[in-house]
Amino acid sequence: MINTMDYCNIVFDSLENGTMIVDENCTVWAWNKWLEINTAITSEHIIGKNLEDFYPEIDYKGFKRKIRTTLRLNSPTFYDASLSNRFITVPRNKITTSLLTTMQLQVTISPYIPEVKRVMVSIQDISDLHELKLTLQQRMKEIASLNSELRQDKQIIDANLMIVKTDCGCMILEVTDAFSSFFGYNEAELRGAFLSSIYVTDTMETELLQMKETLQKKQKWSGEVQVVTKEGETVWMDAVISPYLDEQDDITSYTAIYHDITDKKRIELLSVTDPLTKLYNRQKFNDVFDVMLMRRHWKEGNSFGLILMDVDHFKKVNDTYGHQKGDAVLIAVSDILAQTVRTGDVLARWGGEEFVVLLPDVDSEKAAYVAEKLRRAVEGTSISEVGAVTASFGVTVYAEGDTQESMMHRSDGALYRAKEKGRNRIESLLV
Amino acid sequence: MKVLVVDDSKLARLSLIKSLKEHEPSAEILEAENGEIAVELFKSENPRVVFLDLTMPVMDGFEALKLIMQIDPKAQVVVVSADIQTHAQQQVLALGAKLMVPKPINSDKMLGVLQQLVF
Amino acid sequence: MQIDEFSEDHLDVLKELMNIAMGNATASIADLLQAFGTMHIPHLAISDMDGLKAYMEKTIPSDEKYYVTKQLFGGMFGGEFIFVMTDESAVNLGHYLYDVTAPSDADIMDAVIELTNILSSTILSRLSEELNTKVQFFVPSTELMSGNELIGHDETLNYHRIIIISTLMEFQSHKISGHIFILTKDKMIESLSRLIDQKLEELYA
Repeated sequence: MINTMDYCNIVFDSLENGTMIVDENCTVWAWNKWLEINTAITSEHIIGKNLEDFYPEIDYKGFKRKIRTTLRLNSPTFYDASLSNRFITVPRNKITTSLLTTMQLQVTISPYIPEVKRVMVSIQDISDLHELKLTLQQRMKEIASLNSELRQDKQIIDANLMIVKTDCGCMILEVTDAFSSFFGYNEAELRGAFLSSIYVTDTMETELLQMKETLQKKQKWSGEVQVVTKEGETVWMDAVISPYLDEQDDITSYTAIYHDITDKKRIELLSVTDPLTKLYNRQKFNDVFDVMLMRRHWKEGNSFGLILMDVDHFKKVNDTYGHQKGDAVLIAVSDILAQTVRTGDVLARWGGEEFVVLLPDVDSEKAAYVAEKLRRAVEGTSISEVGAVTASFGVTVYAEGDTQESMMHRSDGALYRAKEKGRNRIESLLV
Repeated sequence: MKVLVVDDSKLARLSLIKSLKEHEPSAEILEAENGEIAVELFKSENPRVVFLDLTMPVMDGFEALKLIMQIDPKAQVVVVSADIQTHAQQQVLALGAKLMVPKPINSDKMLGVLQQLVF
Repeated sequence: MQIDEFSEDHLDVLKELMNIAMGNATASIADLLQAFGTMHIPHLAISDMDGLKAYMEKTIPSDEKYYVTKQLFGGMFGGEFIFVMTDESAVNLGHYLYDVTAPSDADIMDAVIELTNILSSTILSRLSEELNTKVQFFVPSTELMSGNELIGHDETLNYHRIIIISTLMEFQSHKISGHIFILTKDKMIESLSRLIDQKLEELYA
């Protein structure tokens, strides 16, 4: 004959959690199989005895109070017994992590037979949940410290680097503090403006074209740009502009980083300037010449010219009036040449009393015309004591297959002819 | 017989009035939704019995009770409240209430209350 | 479900029932703490998630830390029970229940859970009793968090209709207080409305 108690025990033993029946004095009236297995205490051993004899470390004042509450309210009481002395300790068998060595238990006390003040205490293993919680807390700490590092880095970047973010239409979205304070605008003035508004566009035509080409190809562009601040000050900057693409490979934004190279430029200028005349020196001239040859596709009707010129009788001036006067002549000639050449022409001191000019966008007629203009300008110059000064000019124009050497050779030949023919004249020599 | 029923809840008033009418069908009912209106009505209408809630806006039951007892020290005030703490009961009786009854008041409880009042 | 199916009358009934239930709970806690609790008028509203967030922000200052216990309850009247207690109140509670000058974090946590247990079971049992229905309690969880973490930040779900029942539990002498929020939503509001209708029928019978 199976009586009610046996039925109860069958049910208890089949439960997946620990279940015991205790009264308000903590005398144990049932102890299920789960508990037997996980505590190594058999039900025969504990039934009828007090829980305190087996687990003296539990805080019974609190536990009994919870039992009383359950009975009084006729409602379950829940609590988390993760820490020792809250409830019984059950060892945890997990080996692969050492985070928690005893089971984290969720305890539920439910009214059982209130008339005899008995309650059912069931314990649920929530160790995995706790493990996740602990891991999560750990990760959150790591994230918080990373974030704080990132924030510091961001502050440093913001204060020291001039960076601009624009949309795909080059309208400014964000700027760093360094950028706004350098240019003298506040963020509100910049946001919504176009990035091109800070450039000195007339000195940067080639750069701007190149920039557009490269960016349209969705590539990074770097080069030198000249910008203008709110105060009107113009500055040379190194710029690196990178497009950002989305998943469809469309441009979503641009990021531009600028670096003030005023000092760099000054040094550069020193290295490309002839100290006496302040014109470009030969080195610079050669570089520009190189670029000119490589960069553009010159045609017959649209070519570039090279003028080689030489101050007439310069040695005599030096010998007669001294080197200081000789220098004064050269300075005066440089000045007049510089004033007379067209914007875009590249004038340099080749050496001694020799000067060179590169003339972009000319044909042979135009080149000769410019040379003649220069000759007349020099002729009109007069230096105190020395008197009139003249110069001889050799002109040539680029033709397909030309190199620096071949062009220099030709214009040199033209110059020689000019000297031969009596000086103070221009001579052209074309292919 | 005039009876003043004071409670900010319409349901509470209706429920109380229903059980009251079961035993005193001829009673003339006056209603107030806060202590302030209750005191005004008490002054102007002089009801025999006041059923008074404690937790109300504008003026709570404790204040209203004090004022009513000042107006008429013989007033019969029955405090009907959700607050069933012993301390509340002691406070209310000390202020002069005749009885304190926990909510909700049903027909049987109402009978017991009416039996303890003087008409 | 139309919002006006849950009328002013329905809200009034719910408010009064909450009042009664809170009265029971206050008496229970008063016994536990051997103190006198001040009753407050419960606040009821029907709103959506934005409204709930706004109400929470107004009631609970976001920059402080709180012990927040959340417990789900089920049945014909089902929803979420939330109890929010300041750090200071929790320490006072821990001090009182555990009878030590400096209760440990675990003691405090335990005390908060115990108090919330009493509050939720008394209030919800009484409410369900008055509505002639049964309630099922689920395991509560308690966390220490700041005020702006009370409601999750995921934008995906917006419950259109939420009933908010809220009140304050206050035991001035012991400096122990806390905010109670009982929330129920959408389909639950329909079944709650029907339970209240039955209650009103009893009244008008």
